[in-house]
Amino acid sequence: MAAAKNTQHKVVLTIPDIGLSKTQINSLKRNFKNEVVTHLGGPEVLARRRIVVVVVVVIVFAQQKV
Amino acid sequence: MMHDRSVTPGQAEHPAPCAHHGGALRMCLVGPPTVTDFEDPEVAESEAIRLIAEHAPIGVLSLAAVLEQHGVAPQIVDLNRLYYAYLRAPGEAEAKQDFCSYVAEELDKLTFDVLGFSSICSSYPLTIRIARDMKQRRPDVPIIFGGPQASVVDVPTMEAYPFVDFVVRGEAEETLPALIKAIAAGASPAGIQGVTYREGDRLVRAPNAQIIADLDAIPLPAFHLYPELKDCHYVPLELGRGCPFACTFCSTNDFFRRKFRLKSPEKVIEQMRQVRDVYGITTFDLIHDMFTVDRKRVIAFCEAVIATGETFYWNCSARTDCIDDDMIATMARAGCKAIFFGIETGSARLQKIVKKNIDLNEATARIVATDRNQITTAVSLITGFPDETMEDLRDTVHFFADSLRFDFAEPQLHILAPLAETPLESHFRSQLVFDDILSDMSHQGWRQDPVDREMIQQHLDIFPNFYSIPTPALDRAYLRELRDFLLNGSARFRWLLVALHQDSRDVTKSFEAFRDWYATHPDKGPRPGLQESRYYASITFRDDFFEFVRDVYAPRFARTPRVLHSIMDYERALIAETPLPADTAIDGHDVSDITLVPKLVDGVVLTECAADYQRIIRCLRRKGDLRRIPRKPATIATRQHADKRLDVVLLSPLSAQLLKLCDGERDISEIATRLVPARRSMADIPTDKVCMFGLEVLRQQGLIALHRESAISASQACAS
Repeated sequence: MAAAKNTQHKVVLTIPDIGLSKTQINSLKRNFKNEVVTHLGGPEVLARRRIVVVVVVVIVFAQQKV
Repeated sequence: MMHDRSVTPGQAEHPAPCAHHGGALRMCLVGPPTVTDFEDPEVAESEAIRLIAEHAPIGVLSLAAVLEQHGVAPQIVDLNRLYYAYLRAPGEAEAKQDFCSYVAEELDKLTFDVLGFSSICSSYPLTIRIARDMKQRRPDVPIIFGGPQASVVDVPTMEAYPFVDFVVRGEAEETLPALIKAIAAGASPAGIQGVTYREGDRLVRAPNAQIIADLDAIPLPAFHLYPELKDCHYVPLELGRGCPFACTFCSTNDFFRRKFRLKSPEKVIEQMRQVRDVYGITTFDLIHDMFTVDRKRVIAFCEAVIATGETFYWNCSARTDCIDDDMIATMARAGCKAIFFGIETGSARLQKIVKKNIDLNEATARIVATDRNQITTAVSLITGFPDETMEDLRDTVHFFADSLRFDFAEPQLHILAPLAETPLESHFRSQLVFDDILSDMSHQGWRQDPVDREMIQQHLDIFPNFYSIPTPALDRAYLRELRDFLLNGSARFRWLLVALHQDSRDVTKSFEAFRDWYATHPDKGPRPGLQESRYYASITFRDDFFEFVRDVYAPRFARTPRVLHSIMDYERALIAETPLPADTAIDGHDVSDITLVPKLVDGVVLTECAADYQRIIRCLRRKGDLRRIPRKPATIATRQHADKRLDVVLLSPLSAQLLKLCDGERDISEIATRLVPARRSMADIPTDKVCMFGLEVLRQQGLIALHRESAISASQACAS
């Protein structure tokens, strides 16, 4: 059902370089994947309405601090 | 019947209006209120009520446009707008004059030669009272009634209320200008079709007027006389008239007859463009009792709209047996955003008795299709039919509860109103009772105005919609309470209701068990002195019901108690009143400084659930087996935004573990020592780095903030 589909919206997070390999980062991304469901219109509407947005976490490196 | 003779009729004969000073005759047209006498501003100011009241008074605006073509100068008074002005006026409610006197005072400030009232059944007593007041103030001004209610109760109205001088019955585009012309000339309306008028001491009911065959000839409603339009979210526009069906409870046939008529697509699009260009509004309530009777013409309209390449959004009414999935898809492409489906009853037996004759499986299929096309669908159901049995009622309740599974379906449950001159009302007229169990169609707020009530009691023939047709097999008080339960329950805890229905296979059983429970708990359920409907509309009902499900239903009756608990845990988290975060801005620190102290942002609340809520919902949508929902403990965080949005964050197990360690006391290094990343996939990652990474995710998701010092240190510093 189209109505049950969630609209996905990517959000970019930046983290400092703490010396992790790409494999380790991917593993951490999976383990800290939180599903953020944003509902419009407040709790009353929320109780009856569909999920509007799911935020998918994507992580990129920030420049290492000097 | 007692007749009101308190006001001497001012227009027993047909004198010309006194204020016609050679210019255009001035007519004030008063639109009927859909909101009346709500004593509770909280209710009247609710979004749902306000949106209904925002509906521009299309009937009188259309007539005003026609009158202008005939050289009459109309002005519009919208009683809904006036009601809100009255409600919002400063002063204590008790100290204010009543709404009727307020309206009369406001009308008295205007200059007009003729006063016209449109009417609907729910506010007809108020309309009559205002007319009476105005006749006392302006005895020489002729008063004309029109609209759906006055059209069918014209004779008893004029017999009982001598201050009503004329009733224009049915479609008035030709009748009203002819009547105004006669009034202006001081002539008798004899010969004008569709008018009921006085001739000496007797009433004359002229033959019905012809229906308006060419709806394209009717001009755009006189929106220029309605400056409030600029504040509206949508604009009503007439799409056509006439429903060829003959449902026994419906009054529309009396007013628009059964001849199906539709405006041309070109005319409707032209009018939508006019409204958009002048007022910037692109959403329309396209009015027709049964738009989809003629498939070809519906498709032609949709294709014409699509071909414009312009964006218009619109709502309409349809029957589920006069629409198909392809039509629905085409309508959606043409901008259809909402459809009203009158299903009426979930009982196949009653479908035949009330002559609706809808196939209920087909109806469900259409609701699936509108949901698939993201068209909000009103699924309108009625209970309280005279032949209705408990089994019929259950079928209707099941249809209601099953509809809740579709996100875009908005089921409604109404109590039958015996509308004047409908086949049902005519058949049962001698049996009607006034039992204060009003249809919502005649709802006047939490209690009936005492003056209205007296009028209603005196004149069953004028106000039958406020009466009830006896239901030998059903207790009407039960019906009213069940309705309140379902409507408020679906608004406050939709999925719990669906789950209960699925768990018990009959949500009425849950309702009855709830009644039995509160009957033995004096501090639960409708309280003495608090009207039952008011109780069900309150948060107290929700809290009581959750308590009942948790303590009684789930342990004693439920097949899938864990699922019910999970839904309640989740929904409780959603409705919990959490404070708004004081400051969600990123604080400039990052987790590489392990001496910082992470703390949950104000307003973030953690809740434990026993099962995956979203999986439960998916299961409920397809009527799957709830017993197959696995135990899967999960933690969710809720976060309120200033704009009333609420985020629900379904936390991964590791995020949940980490978040629970953020107590505002431990710094990052201490949290890292306590974190246990159990997954093998992270075995090669130092725990402090797992911790730092996770905290940064949580910080950037707005769940935690980093502080320089712990909460204890901060309070000690503050104390010293």
